[in-house]
Amino acid sequence: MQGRLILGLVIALFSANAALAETGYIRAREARVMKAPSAAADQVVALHKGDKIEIIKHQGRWLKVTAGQQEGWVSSLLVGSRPPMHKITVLDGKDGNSLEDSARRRASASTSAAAARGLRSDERARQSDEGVADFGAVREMESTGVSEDEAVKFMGQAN
Amino acid sequence: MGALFSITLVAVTAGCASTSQGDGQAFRQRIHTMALSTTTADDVRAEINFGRDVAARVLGRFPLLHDEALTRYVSLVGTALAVQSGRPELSYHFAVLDTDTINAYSAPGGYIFITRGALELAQDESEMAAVLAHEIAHVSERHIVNALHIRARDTSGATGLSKLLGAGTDTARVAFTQALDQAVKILFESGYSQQDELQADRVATLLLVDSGLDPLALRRYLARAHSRDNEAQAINTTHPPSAERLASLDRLIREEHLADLDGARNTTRFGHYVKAQ
Repeated sequence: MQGRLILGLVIALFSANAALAETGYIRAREARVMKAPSAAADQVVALHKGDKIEIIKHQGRWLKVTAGQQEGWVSSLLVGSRPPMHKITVLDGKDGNSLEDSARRRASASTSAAAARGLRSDERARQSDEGVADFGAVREMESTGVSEDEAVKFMGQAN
Repeated sequence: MGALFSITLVAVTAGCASTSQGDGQAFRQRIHTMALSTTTADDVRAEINFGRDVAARVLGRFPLLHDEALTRYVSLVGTALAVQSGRPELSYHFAVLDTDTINAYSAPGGYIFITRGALELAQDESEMAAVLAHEIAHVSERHIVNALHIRARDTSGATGLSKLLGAGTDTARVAFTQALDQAVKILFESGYSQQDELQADRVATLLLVDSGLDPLALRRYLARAHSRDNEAQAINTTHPPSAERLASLDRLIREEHLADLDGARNTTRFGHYVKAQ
């Protein structure tokens, strides 16, 4: 009888801890889990984007977490409460009109002709008193991107 | 426009409230996490499209510097920082603005700008990275997005921009343009709230740590920038007084023992790409 009571208490405590644990996901490309809540501490393990963690404790900007069999501290800047989204792009050849497009998709069939007509980016600029807009330069800027893999590799080649 | 103003005031007030929590940074971090937890793919699309219009305004004011090698270098360093910033759904874009003015800008959705003057003031790659990281932090912490309430749709009773546009009225379009003007005003005139600026400094410094770069670089760069005679021309107009920023960074460096870390400065290749200009 006493043994059952102890077992029951252990199960109750375990359940309470499980209920308190908060699930998080790594949102950065890589997150170092440290032995102590300090960037200068030794590293326990490196986690990667999308990895699931259980958050045991908050301390300032640091989270005490478990990941698999490993336990340690990770910066809360690298963690979100939901799995990271996939890459989202609006660069489908349109000139910044997708905001109106997405609004129109949700609009009812009775949407007015004016809404369907939308407003081009250059027209928006002309409506403003705050200066000109250069979408050609934006497109040029967007065309000079580098891949994440080559950027990380480049950063690893310190000199 | 009244609705937009009231929304902005709420955001600013929330930011100020965080300082009374004792551990303001941790409080802000919880706000950050909560905001992300309710962000939808449509919200992100709205943010990018709005940011694209803001970026076009920045580029309407300052021309691009057409230097392929330099732009690629800035993009490589900036992208390496951005992948650690906690917004993997965004593709960041980097550009150098052809002006002597010492400044940097960012637009929602991942558009990051640094001026030629700001590059020339840096003495190594970690300092350039620090400037980029500060701007990335404004994006990752969604400072303009939160101030102007840019979401695809809104269940809180406030008015999202897409809802305004979905109404299809001239009033809605004017509201979009006014929000755009307000974002541009933040970038070029009024600046971010002091709370947002100090947070961007702290996040930027921690981003340097997570990227293996010298965590003292931002503090070093800001001290140099504010000691220059021409600071009143640019940085002071849109940033808090230097003493407060430096004091805030000093606290972070002390609390996190960042001076003990051995981060890279990458002076050699910085000289190759930037100082050779």
